[in-house]
Order: sequence, then structure tokens, then C-alpha cells
Amino acid sequence: MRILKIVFATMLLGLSLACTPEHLQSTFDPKGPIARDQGYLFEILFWAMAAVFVVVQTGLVYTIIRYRRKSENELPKQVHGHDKLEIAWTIAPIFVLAAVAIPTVSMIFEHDDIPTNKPKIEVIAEGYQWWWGFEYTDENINVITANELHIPTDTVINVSLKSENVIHSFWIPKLAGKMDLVPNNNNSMWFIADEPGEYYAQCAEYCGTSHANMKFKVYVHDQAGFDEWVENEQKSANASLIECTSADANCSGLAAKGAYIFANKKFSGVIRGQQVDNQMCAACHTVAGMKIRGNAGPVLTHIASRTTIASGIYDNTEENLTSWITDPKNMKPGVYMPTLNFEEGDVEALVAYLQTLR
Amino acid sequence: MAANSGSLPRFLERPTSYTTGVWGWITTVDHKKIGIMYGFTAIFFFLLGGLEAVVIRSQLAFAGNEIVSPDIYNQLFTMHALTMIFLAIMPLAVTFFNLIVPLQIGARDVAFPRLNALSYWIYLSGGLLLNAGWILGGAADSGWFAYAPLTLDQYGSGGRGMDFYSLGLLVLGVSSVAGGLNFLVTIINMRAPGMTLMRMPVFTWMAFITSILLVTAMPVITIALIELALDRILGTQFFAPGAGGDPLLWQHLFWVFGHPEVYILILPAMGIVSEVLPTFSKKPLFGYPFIIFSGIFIGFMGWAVWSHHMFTVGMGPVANATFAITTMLIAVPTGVKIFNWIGTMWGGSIDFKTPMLFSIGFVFLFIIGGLSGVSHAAPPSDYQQQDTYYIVAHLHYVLFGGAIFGIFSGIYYWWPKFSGKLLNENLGVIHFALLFIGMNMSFGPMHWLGMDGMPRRIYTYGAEYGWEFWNTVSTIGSYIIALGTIVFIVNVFYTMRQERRTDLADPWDGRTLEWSIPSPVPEYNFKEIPIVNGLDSFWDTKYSTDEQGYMTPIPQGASDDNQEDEEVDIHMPGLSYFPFITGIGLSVSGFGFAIYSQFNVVGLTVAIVGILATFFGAYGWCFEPADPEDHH
Repeated sequence: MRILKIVFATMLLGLSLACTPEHLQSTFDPKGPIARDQGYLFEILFWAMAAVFVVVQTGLVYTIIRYRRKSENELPKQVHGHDKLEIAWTIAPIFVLAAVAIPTVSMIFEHDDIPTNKPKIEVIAEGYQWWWGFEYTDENINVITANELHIPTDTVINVSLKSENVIHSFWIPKLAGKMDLVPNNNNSMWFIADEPGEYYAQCAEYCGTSHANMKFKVYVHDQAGFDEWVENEQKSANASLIECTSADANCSGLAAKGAYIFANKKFSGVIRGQQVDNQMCAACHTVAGMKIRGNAGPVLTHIASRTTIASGIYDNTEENLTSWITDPKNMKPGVYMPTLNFEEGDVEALVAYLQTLR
Repeated sequence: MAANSGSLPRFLERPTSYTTGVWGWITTVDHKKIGIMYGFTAIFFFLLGGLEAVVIRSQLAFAGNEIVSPDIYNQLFTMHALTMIFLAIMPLAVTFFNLIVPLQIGARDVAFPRLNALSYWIYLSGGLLLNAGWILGGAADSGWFAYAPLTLDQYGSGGRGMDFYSLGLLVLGVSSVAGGLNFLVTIINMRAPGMTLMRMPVFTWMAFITSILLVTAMPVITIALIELALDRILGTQFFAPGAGGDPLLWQHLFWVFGHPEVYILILPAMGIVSEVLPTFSKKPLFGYPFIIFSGIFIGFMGWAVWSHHMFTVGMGPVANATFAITTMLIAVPTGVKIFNWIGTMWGGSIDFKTPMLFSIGFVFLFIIGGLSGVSHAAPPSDYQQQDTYYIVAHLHYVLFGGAIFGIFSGIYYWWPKFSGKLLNENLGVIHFALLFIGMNMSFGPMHWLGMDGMPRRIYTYGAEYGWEFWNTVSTIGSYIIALGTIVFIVNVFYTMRQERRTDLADPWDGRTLEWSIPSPVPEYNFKEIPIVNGLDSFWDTKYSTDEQGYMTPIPQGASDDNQEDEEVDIHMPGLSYFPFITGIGLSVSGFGFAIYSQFNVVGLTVAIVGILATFFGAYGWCFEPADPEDHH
């Protein structure tokens, strides 16, 4: 009996530690109807299977204890089968399965229809190796950002999922289960967030060297907060510095120097074994308002207003930005951003500039 | 033809003299010797795959651990899966097909002994080819499922591993199809007189169903692998999205193969368990026809569920609902098997010898793996579980708790039949206990990690996610499994040093024909082909039942063991070099193509040499005299 008690205590400890809703990506803490329904279905399945588990394993354990060999001379009755029993245990599971198949199938079709009684926002989520691009296509929003998705509460977020490289999977455990981004096969999914907050999300389909580092965050605001965010995003950040395309006198200061470098100074470097020559930062990164709009890397228009860099893996601090720009492959293995031949002071200026892009 | 073969060059003659030594093994066509080579090779690869697993678990033991680089980690989890599936579990199943099926059906060998040897040599060399990437520019690193287009160079890590993947698996596929055909023909044609299909032992039945799956599933992956190899080596565009190629084409081809493959892995273990449970319960298998037909149904339904691996690729509600229901249906025949296994033990006299412990462990763990499978048969629930550690937990309960436990059960059960030695029982019990505890500790917490949002195939995670505790527990569990495996290896070496015993023809009071002949089995297996009068006909020579159905021993006459020394002149198939030459040649050509993109001229030369060797081998094979004596 003492062993049983220890087993039970361990199981309880396990369950309480396992159902840790406070964990960042726990599926036991749904914050929207899609994740809640999916969790609900899991619970139905879990308890149905737990019941089957208890019945069958009890039967197994009871059998091996009761019929253990007590003497070498035992001569048991030779039973070859029992047709009625066979029919019973063929049919019984069918009932259990029907009981879980019905809510399963109805939920599949229910979630296929986008609710029409709520406002709706269209977002394109595009997967890259290894970061996320987000584009709000509704005319009144029309914002492009990266790695941090901002949405209002109680609104249908209809996400179109696109990739032009490998397959990724879009997954916000507390808001919605995952859906893949498959090249040449555009998918879509929708979800709703109940309450404001910060939600962790992560690519779930293995996508190469830095698959583990392809994260993003979802910020859920109330409507006013969201509108405010949109308004800020729609402005081109720090417009005056963007004009600094030449080293003219009005543009003094470190940040201005950084803006100039960003848009004009050409560097060389190596990307994944290939030499790249004469490229400026803007060849790959867009800052709205500049003439050159590169799109190989994340949009940086409001980089300073983001909490993280490198698709959710580092806090957005001066120190991390400096390390990142100096040698990105050291911060994110396999990264496509080259390590460039900066001169003394270049990185400092670039960081100063990026930190003005609120 | 005799005149023609007489004019062949000397080295094409059929060898006659090698019965021992290295050449004896290289030229053998004896199903038992081939089975033993399969077994030891597969155990070697099992240890290699296990070592990879231990490194993977060590990396994940703590948040932010840096034991291996991400690229090495990705190679490790890819090669761990490939090694365990294609080089350990499948060949271990084939080991038992080789060793047991001819004995259970009362045959002297398989239908095509040389083809059987060819299967082994392709397997050995193909396994090395698959692993060659480790020393030649990186092993395969796109996952064993190798989803397009990550397999193309511009998206991958730049290593050449996927060339070894595509060519290695292509070559191994030849081995599987040849083996599958061989056992199909053997089981259909070479059963002893009186052994109707419904008198066939369950293990042979499962071998039969598995062989059908092998022959039908491998061609599907072969198509996909040829397309992949062409994409990578010759620059075709089957899976390149930029040129309109379709990544989902790969997924469908892969999983149409991949799900039957899952049953290829588990059905042989189910067959082993269905032999062990009755023997150690002193009772016939409960519901024999139901076990057989549920096995057939599982094999058949294996073709109708592949898209449950693809619920999140966006197939739409109708496809997802359909595959959800077909997948749930598989639980019915699986349940029938489990109930019948419990029914077999019910009312029996259960002897907890090591084989029995592993079989009971199989049933216990397979129930868990089967039940957790139902929770991702439902797509909305699966959307949260797909590609998380929950799936890793599920698949290891099925493949480790299931297939590997079944295989160990078989190893302990049949070891004396081929060596005349019993594996040590105490070490066996320790082995089982460590594996059982380690496996639950390693894979149990993964259910919780998955539901806690931990994705698969990540080489690192942050401490802030709260996943560290259970990862540490899981890693300790994997070390316990490793310790258990070491105990097994010690047991094997310890046992091999023991004296051979002569009293082990039937150490477990067995039911099937293999226990009716001496251990180790003579080269010709059966002096006289047995006549079969019913299911368990060997058991019927030892016991009858009284009016109430209780078993009663039949008094045995004087032992006829002394006949063993009699001179017997039984014609056995001759030895041959050609399976070895053909098989190695095939892998050499695969190797040449695999290194072609790195070393053009050398690669092409090696490939041509390999192809010539294959053709030479096949040519010699065709004109080899059926009997060495024909020459003289």
C-alpha cells in the first residue's frame, strides 16, 4: 500500500507540475475561443482515454497477479476463445470512439467557418528562415511589421499563411493550435483573443538550422491600445533622420550618422559561405520613408518599439543590438544576415539610429 | 546448361568448402546464419542510434545547454530516427523472420536463399552508406521525414547529408522489397503438409502481413526518393517551390509509405508477444482468429490513415474529418489484440521469465501509446500537439515500449534455439527493470512537455519556458535506458562464454514447431518434414486435455535424441559469392551517386564500378549451377 501511495503522490505531483498554466506556452491556459475549444476536446479525449486506461491496465495487472504461477505443476484449463466476449470487446471501443468522434468532427467544421458577428482583421503571416513577417492588409490599417504581432481583443484575426522558402508552422499555444505555412499552398486560419496580454509563439515545423530560434510574440491590446499602435506604425518613424541620405550639416549626431550609414554606406561580408559585396543595410531592411526598400530581412521601421530582436530570442537592448549587428551568426546560428566589415564607430552609430525608430 | 556453366571461368564456380570462417559467413545462404548476421548488425546500429539519443537528451537536459552545435543536433535527431527505424527495428524484425519463420512452418530454408543473402548484404552496406555522411561533409539533417523543400541545398545547412539519405534509403529499399517477397513466397509455398493458413503460428502470420506491407509500401518511398535524388543531384524541380514544384507531393508520398511503415515496425513485435504470452501462461492464444484478422485489418487500414500526419498542412475539413475517423477506427483491432492477450493470460499459470516480462511490458506500454494516439487522431486537439514533445512521447511508447520491448522479448525467448545457451535470467530481469523504469521516466514527462508548449526538433530552449525540470528527468531516464542496454550487452557476452547445453531443445515448454528440433538448430532444420494436424501441433504431442478442458501431460516415450548423431544426407542449397558481390556493388554505386555533387569524376567512377559489380554479380548469379556437384 505504501508503494501505491508513493505512486499516487508522484502522479499528483506530475499533474500539478504539468498543468502549469502560468508557463509561457502552456496549452492549459487558453486565452481565446479556438484554443479553449481545442483544449476542451483534448479534455474529453483525455478523460475517455484515462477511463479506458484504468479499466484495461487494472485488468492486465489483476490478471498477472492473480494467475501468477504458484507451483510448477499447474495444469491450467485450455481455453481457445469466447465468441461473445470477442464481439463485446470489438463493439465496446466503437462506442467510445463514436463518443469522441462526434465532437471531433463537429468542431472541425465549426472552426472552418469564420464568425460574422465580430469585427475582423486580415493579416498575412509570412515565414522566413528564421523570422516572421506580418502584413495588415485592411485599408484602414495597412501596416507591415516583423516578429511581433499586435492585435485587438474580441476581434477575428484572419491570418493568411505564406512561405516562399521552406515549411514553417504558425503556433500561438494560448490562442490557437498550429497551421503550416507551405510554399505554393497558401493556408489560412483564424482566432480570437479574449484579453489583453503578451503571448509567446513559436515556429512548430522543423525549418532548418535555427528552427529553435524562430519565435514571435503576440501583443493583445484593447481596441484603444490597438488603434494607438496602428497610428504609430503608420507614421514613418523619425522622419527627419531619414532625410539624411548625405552627410549634410543639418544631420549631425550619432543617430544621424547611423541613418546615413544605414542607407548609403556599402559593406562586404559572407552569408552562409557566399561572398556579398557592396551592399548597404537598406538593401535588405526597409525603414519606411527611405527610397531603398530591401525585403530580404525584417522591416525595421519601428524596431525601437519592439521588445525583442532576432525573432523573439533577445531583449531589444543596446548591448544585444550591438552584438547582433557586429556578428549575427554568433547570436543565431545559420542566420542569413552577413557579418560585415564595419569600420570603427559604424555599429555604434547604427545602434544609435535604430534606437530612434520608435 | 550444364555444359555452358562448365565453361565459365573458375571464379564463377559455386563454392563448396566454406562452412566456417569469414568466407563461410560471406557465402552463406543458410537462413539461420543470415538471421544471426542480421541480428548482430541490427544490434550494432541499435547501439549507435541509442548513443545518438543519449547525446540528444544530454543537450536538452538543461536550458541553453551547448554540448553540440545546432547543425550537429539536427543531424543527430535525423540520424537517430533513420537508424532506429531502418537500421535497427526493421532489421531486428527481419532477423526473427529469418530465424523463426522457416522453423515455424517446418521448412528447410526460405524460398530464395541467395536472395535472402542479398537482402542482408544490401542492408549492411546500405546502412553504412546512410551513415557515411558523418565522415563526408555531414550526415542527413532534414529530419527522417525530410520535408521538401528543406531538403534542397539552398534552404538546408549546406551539408551533403541528404544525398546519403536519398541514396542510402533507396538502396535499403531494395533489401526490404527483396526480403518481403522472399518471405511472402516462403510462407505461401513452403509450409509443412497439413499447415493450413489458419494453423499457422501467429508470429508467421504477422511476418506474412508485414511482408505484404514491405512489398507494397517501399515502392512508394522509392518514387519519392528518386525524385529527391534527381532534384539534388541533377537539378530537376519536383519539390522546388520556386519552379512550381509541390512540397505537399513529398509529404503525401512519404506518409503513404510512412504509415504502413509504422505497422511494419509494430506487427512483428505483436507476433512475438502472441507467441510468448501463451507459452509462459501454459494456455493457447485466446481468440487466435481474431488476433489474425485484427492484424490483417491493421495492415489494411495502415493505407487509409496517412494524412493524420498532415492535419496541419491545410487539407481542409472534409479530408481532416475523414482521416480522423479512419485513424480512430484502427483503435478497434488494436483493442481486440490487447483484450485477447489479457484473455490469454487469464486463467493461466504465468511464469515471469524475462521474455514474459518484456511481453507484459509491451502490452502495458503499448496501451499507453495507443491511447495517447487517440488524442491526436482528433484534428482540433492535434493542432496543439502536432510537432510537440507530446508526439515524441506517443511514438516512443509505441516504438520503444512497443516494438523494442517485443523484440527484446523475442531475443530472450529464441536465444537458446540458436546458441544452445540461455541468456542469464537475473541479468535479464535487471535489464527489463531498468528499461521499464528508464523508458517511463524518459518518455512519460514528454507528454507534459508537449502540452506545455515545447516543440520538437529544437536544439535549445530558454529557462523562462519552465521546461527544464521535466527535461532533466527525461534525460536521467535516458541514462537509465542506456544502463539497461549495457546490462543486456554484458548478458550477451556472459552467455556466449557459457558451455553449450544439450537440453535446451524446448526450454520453455513451447508450442510451435521450432521447439520440436534440437538447439542449436541443425543446418537442415528438420530431419523429416513434420506433418501438421492442427494449431500448436507440437504442443499436442506433449499434452492433451481432459473432459473439463484441463491440460494433461502425455507420457513421452524414450528420448530420440540419440538419433542426432546419425548420418543424414539432406540436400541443402549451395554457398554463393554472388549475393555479396551484387549487394555490395549496389551500395557502392549508391555511394558514387551520393558523392557525385562533391567529387564529380570520382563519384561517377565509383558509381560505374558499383553498377558493373552489380551486373557482374547478377550475371554470375543467373548462370551459377544450382548444385556444386553439377560440375564434377
